[in-house]
Amino acid sequence: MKVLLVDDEADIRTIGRLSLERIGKLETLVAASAREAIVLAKADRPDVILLDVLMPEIDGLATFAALREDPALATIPVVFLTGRASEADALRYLAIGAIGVIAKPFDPMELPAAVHRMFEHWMLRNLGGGSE
Amino acid sequence: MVDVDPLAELAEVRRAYAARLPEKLAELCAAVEAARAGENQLIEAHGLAHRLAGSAGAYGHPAVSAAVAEIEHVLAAALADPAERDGLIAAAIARVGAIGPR
Repeated sequence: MKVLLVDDEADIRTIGRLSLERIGKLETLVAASAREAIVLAKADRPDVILLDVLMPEIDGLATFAALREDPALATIPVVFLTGRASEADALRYLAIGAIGVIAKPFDPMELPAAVHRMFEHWMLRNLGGGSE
Repeated sequence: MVDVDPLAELAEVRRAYAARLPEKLAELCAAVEAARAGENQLIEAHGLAHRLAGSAGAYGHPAVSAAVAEIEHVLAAALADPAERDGLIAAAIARVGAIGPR
């Protein structure tokens, strides 16, 4: 499984990559901004995008909207990463089409399993099959 | 090439982060104090608190993360309510002073 992690915070990109790639053994791409994320997603289509909500310039919600408007990227499942994971926010993110919400701070030992679980669940629900 | 144990790598990045944490807290302290100058500085301080709250927890500092998340919350309230802004920023300064070097 290939994951694209999008977060403006360098420390989060560092530990997120370590968590996903080294601990979770997932192929991992990282982007520091919405623009970079869209370029990377087009060039090297990920299976799932892990997208920070609060980012400067173009935030996670606007990035999500841009992904959904692009026919080449619209079907890539998105998990929101947020420090504001109130239940209402989480429900709102799920209602607009995210496949899951992960609260920051995350546990780097648990993050890969959480992403995998959300992806598997989405695959079973939408495609009726396994992930690999 | 020797394959480094991922857990050893995690411990190493956490050690490096811990070494930089006092500097990060001092940066937050300065940013929150600067927030008295205007909305742009307040937005900057809020963003810094948000980033630090997220990273400190992931790097194994849950108490710092929780304390900084409270400061982030106070700064968000200050952004939302200009009438109460001075008092809320003063409250944030007091809180950040309690966890970080001044």
